[in-house]
Formats: sequence, C-alpha cells, structure tokens
Amino acid sequence: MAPILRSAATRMAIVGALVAALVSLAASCSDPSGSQQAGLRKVRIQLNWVPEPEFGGLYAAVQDGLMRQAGFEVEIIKDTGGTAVPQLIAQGVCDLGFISGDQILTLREQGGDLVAVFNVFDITPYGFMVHAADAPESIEAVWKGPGTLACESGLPAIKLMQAKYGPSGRKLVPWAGATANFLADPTLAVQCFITSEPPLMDLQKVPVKVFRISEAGYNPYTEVLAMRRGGMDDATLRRFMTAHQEGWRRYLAEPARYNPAIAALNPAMSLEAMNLGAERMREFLVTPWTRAHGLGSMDPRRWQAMVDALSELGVIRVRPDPASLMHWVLDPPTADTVVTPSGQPG
Amino acid sequence: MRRRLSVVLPPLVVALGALLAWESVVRVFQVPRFILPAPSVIAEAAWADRERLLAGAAQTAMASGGGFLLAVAIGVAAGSVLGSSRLLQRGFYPLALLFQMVPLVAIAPLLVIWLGYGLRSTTAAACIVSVFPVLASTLDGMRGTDPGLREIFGIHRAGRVARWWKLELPASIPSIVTGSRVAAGLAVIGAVVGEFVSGYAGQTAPLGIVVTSSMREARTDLVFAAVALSACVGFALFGMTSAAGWLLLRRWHASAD
Repeated sequence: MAPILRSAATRMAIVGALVAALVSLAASCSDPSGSQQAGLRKVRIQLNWVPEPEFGGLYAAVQDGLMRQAGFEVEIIKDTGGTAVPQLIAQGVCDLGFISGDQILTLREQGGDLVAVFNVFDITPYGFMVHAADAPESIEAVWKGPGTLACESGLPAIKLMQAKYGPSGRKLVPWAGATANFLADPTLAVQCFITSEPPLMDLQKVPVKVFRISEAGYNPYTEVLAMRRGGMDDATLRRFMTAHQEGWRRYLAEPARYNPAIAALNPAMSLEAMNLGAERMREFLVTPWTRAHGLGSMDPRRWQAMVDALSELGVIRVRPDPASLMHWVLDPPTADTVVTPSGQPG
Repeated sequence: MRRRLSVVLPPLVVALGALLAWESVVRVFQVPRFILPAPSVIAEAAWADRERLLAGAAQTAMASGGGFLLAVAIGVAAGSVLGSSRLLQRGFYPLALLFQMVPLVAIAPLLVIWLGYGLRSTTAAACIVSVFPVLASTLDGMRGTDPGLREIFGIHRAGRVARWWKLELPASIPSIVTGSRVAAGLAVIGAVVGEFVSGYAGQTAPLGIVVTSSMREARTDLVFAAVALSACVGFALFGMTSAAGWLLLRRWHASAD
C-alpha cells in the first residue's frame, strides 16, 4: 500500500471525498429546473437549423405558456451545424426533433425507427436562389447552369434533379448556410428555404430569382417534427401537439409578436427579415389540405409518393408502409380553430 | 525475416484483436447500424461504394498532398529566415504561431470567398494547419546547429547563404523530418475540414463531402469507410515523409536507423 494510504484518517478522507463526489454527481444528473416538482414533463426538442420563423409555432407555444399549461417544460436546442438530428432522436438524446421527411426513411433503412408527428410546411419551401442577372427561365435551366450550385450533399432533391435532368452543368459545392458566398459570386446559385434566404437578399436590395423544387414535380415533407415510435403515449402526445398547433395558429396570425424573441437567439437574421420571411411562409403552411385537416397534419399519399421517389432513386431498398411513417393524433379543425390564408383564425 | 516479423506482427495482432472485439460487441449487443456498424458491415459498404470512395480518396490525397508540400516549402523557408536573425524571430514568430491557433473551421468559409471552391481552398486549408510544425522544427534545427561548426564557418568567412546551405539546413534536417511527420497527419485533417465547406460534390466528391452526405443519410457505415480511407491517406503521407527522411539521413544520422 502506498505510504499515504496507510493512515486511517487519510483513507477515510479519500472515501468521504469519493462519496461526496458521487452524491454531487447524482444531484447534477437529477432535474435541476425543478420541473418535476412542478409536475411538468421535461421535453428536449432539437432543431435542425438556427432559430428562424420555420420554428415559429414552437417558440410561440413556449412564449405564451401553452406548453407549461399542457404540462411540459420545453428545452429547445438549436443546431450548431451538421447536427445528426435523426440519430439523436433515435438514441433518445432528445425527445423530439425537426428533420426532413426523407430522413425518417433513410434512418429506418439503417435500423432506426422514427415517426413524424407534425409537418410544418404543407408545400415544400425548398428551392434554388440565383442572381436575377443570371436569369435562367426554369428550374431545369438553373440545374443545367453554367456556374456553381451550393447545396447540401446527400439531399434527395439533388438526386432527383440529377435523375430527371441529367448531370448538372454547374459545379456542385457544399451549402454552408451563409449568404456571403452568394453575394460574392454572381454566377453562384444556392439552395434555399424560400422563407429564409430570399427575404434576406430582398432587404439587402440584392435582386434574386427563386425557383421552387416543387416545379420539378417533387413536393416532399421538408420539415417534420419527429419522435421515436412510442416515445410518448397518445394522450401525452395529444396534449403536446394541441399546444404546438395552437402555437402555430398564433404565430401565423401575429408573427411580429414572437419574432423578437427568435431574432434574439439568431443575430445572423434581422428582425425585419424574420417578419418578411414569416409573411411569405403562410402560403406554404395554410393550404386547402391543412385548412381541412389541421395545421401540421399529413397525407399518407404524400408519404407514399416520397417512398416511391426515394426507392426509384435507389436511396432506400425496403419500401415501408407509408402509414407507419407518421402518427397524427389531433382532430380536424373546427370553425373556431381553422386558419385562413391570411393566418387569422377563421 | 524474424526481425521484420517482430516489427509487423504486433500492430497486426492488436488491430485484428480490436476489430474482432468490435465485431463481437456490435453483434452481441445488437447495436443499430446507424450508431455503430460492425467492421464487416463497413467493409461491405466500402466495397459496394468503392468507386465513389476511391475517387474521393484521390481528391483528398491531392488536396492534402499539395497542402503538405506547400507547408514544407513555406515552413522550411520561413523557419530558415526567422532562424537567421533574432530580431526577425522576435517580430514574426508570434505571427507564425497564429497559424497554429487559428480555428480552421472558422476560417474555412473565408477561404472559399478568397480562393473559390474546390482544390485551391482545400489545399490552402491543409497547408494552414500543417505549416507550423514544419516552421517550428526548422527553427529548432537552425538554433541547434553546433556552435563549433558555426565558428569554423565564420573563420572561413563563409557567406550567409553558404552557411545556411552547407551547415544550418543539413543540421536542421532531422528536426524538419520530425516536424513534417506531424504535419503529414495534420494536412489530411485540414483537407477534410476544408472539403466540408469548399469541396466539389458530384461523382468525384472528396472524402469530406462523402462524410457529410453519408451522415445526412444515416449511413454511418460509409462515414467509417471514408474516415478509414482518409486515415490511409494520412498513413501514406506519413510513410512517404519517413522514407524521404530515411533517404536524406541514412548515411550520416543515427535517427535513420
């Protein structure tokens, strides 16, 4: 035995220190927010991007206390760049997360089992943004180039463009999310969310033209809230989704009320750009389908179309039952809760 | 033969043991593929996607090799200049140290703006992260030159260039080789990080792009395959540097044994 451990007092002190360390470790692992005492269930939600209007409904539900009223203490974790959100949800690191619909399919192929519980955009806002002076006439012309196209590699939309129009005439480069490269290069086309980058350019008085990927015949669910299958029982999920859907109704009616809090979390996007983006977002969320079935609701036929597209592209080998990819627990809207195209309750 | 076996066998046995343990753990605990694929699954995925992976490895090798050579050229030149004058060293060394401190992830997007997409940016990224070890080791070599030999060169009134070429540079080679070995591994890391933001995608996408696109598709098996290949590129650069060092030192320096 080492000489220092020979003394009983020293040994007791070391054991005492170890016990104290274990106790403090256990204390730090327990819920520090006191949410359990308040009877609230803690829910960690991982974003797949920085805070922007595309998550507006969630922020509104939290800001207005709807989540607390429903019994949830919500923690929103923003993306720090390239976060593997589907894997984090499947592993239980977070309870829910925003991902692209196709990622549910690709993860399932690799042994993960997620379900979409809420869809943000009924029409995909994904598109390509080019300088107006570049002026291609169609999305096919954008694809054929010449020039450079910054896009997220591995995106099914890009594979679909390749399958439909052949190899791109543009050089494909990574999309880092910053618009600085776009401003610096007049021949650069970039992928965009129509509700995000184009408003930024408009406010900077940079003339741009935007082409929707839906013009190429592909309209996937681009942003869904997903959870592990069985991650929440139906009653709990229903409470959560009711609050989330109400958050979206409020956000669409009055985005300027909620955007300052979102802008404070994302200094890269001005409040003005967020307000403009939120205004443009409505037409992608409020559609005949969502007016009839409720904001966030999904159509199994759209999932079927996605399964077909990804299967044809060779992205997935096994074709799952489309109904198994989503889990919708809310009722259709009533006359009081339906949202009009202007975002106001009907 | 026996000596060679004693060199090759231990790392092979350790690697095989680690792979076997990995395979067993994944199979016994049924770890999902998207978290940790078994080595056999990775090998299968690598074989199925071999064309894309090899094309990617070639691109990454070009960027890291080019960046590494640039780093050696710049590092030796800058180290020699700084080593020739205390004043220059005091003035510029902290600036050179900045290259070591620069978070590459933060400046990689700027490289794209300055140099454009593709090989130029990724080569520059590889060079930036690997230049400092070469510079610092050159400087150390210069400083460590035998004072007795310096005196002899002084007695013979050797010029500054002759002193550098015939005395200081040869004396610095052992430490330059050591610094270059460190730089070889760093160059691959720099190239892959550079590719994350500036590599060309498409059929001949470099390994950095293969990693990001595979990650998005939850293809952890392909991520591992790409990482293993980038490690191979690093091993190749390291091996070539060691071989070059051996060729340069074998006749006169104990470190070549």
